[in-house]
Amino acid sequence: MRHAVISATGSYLPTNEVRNEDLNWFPADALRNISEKTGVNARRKAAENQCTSDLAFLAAQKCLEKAGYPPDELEAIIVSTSSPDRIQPATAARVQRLLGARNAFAFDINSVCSGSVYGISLADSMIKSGNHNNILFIAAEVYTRILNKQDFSTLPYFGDGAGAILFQTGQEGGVLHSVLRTDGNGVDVICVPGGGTMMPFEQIANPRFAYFKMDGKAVYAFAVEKGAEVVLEVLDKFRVTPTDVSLFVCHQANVNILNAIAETLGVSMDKFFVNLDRYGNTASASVPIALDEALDSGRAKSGDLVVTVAFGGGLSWGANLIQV
Amino acid sequence: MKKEGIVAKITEGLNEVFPESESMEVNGETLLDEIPYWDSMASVNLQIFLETAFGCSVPAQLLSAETPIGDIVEHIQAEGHGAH
Repeated sequence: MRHAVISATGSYLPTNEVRNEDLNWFPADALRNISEKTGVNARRKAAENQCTSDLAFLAAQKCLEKAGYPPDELEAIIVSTSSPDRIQPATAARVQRLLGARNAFAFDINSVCSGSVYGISLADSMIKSGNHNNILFIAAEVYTRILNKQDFSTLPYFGDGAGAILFQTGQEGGVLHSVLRTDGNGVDVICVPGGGTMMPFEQIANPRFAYFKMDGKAVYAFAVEKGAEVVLEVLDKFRVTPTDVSLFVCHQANVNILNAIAETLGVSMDKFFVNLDRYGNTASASVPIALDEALDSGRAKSGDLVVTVAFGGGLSWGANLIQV
Repeated sequence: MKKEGIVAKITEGLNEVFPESESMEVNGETLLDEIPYWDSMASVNLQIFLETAFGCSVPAQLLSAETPIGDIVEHIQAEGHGAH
């Protein structure tokens, strides 16, 4: 049986660090609470001349360099983003050009913060289909461009970044199983209301509708419940328990969500990779970035069972069980 | 400024900061938790609006989910800043 195995990972974080105290147009007491309420101490902000495809390219370049893999041998490039370069064409098309991956077809997916687990599952399916031998999956986000700088309910959480995973055909291990879920009843819980066909720019009555927004309380309840539930579901297929898992690479939304999921699963937070204190929530890029750091730092080693889990707009959520 | 005037101005601010509250009827008994998209992070947006609109300090503790709008009105009146 064909398996989609991880050949290499890569990530890119912009060099410009924005610490909580740098958001000094908000009240000082509010800034002091960011860390406790979110776990975020700092985030990265893309340079003015960088857009989403630039970050995606830099993460992909690092990934391919690690694998020693020539870009022109890539068969497909999938870019997950909910903060694309433009409404159209696909951000992936510019990434393909920047990489010089002239033989690869390239397209975007958008499942907001769940895009990582959706993309991993998609790459796995494409390889298992027998039609493709390699897939470069990239998740890249520049949320600092879609956030309202006056909105304290969103701005402190998010940062920019990109992560990449090269999948190749293997005989064992790799992506063992994925579970993906969507509940369209929650379509308004996380969204950018204006700028699409539902509310074109000329119909935006309140400037706040032009920016990303989320119902924080609803997101928290949803993520805690569905995050833990989908982990148990993906593990159940292989009759493994949370304690058998070496590392949980969870979407870096809020440290309190990670704590609650760990508690529900009955595992220590030591099994959860955390970097949101340094990068904030990088939406769909958070899982590939965390996975790259986990592999580079030795937190996840060859042969380990790793669960990636994410939740976000849609509402959407999912998990992958991976033997790295 | 009378109580009704302060409530009207707060309602104006809520519509601006929480656009989904536009169709909501706001009075002194309305709890902050009833405002769509309200949470402790979003409360800072209202705090900034109130301090700018009424020119007074509004402690973060006053803006808890269980706070009725009436308590905010009383605070603004007590600070003497709702009078202009």
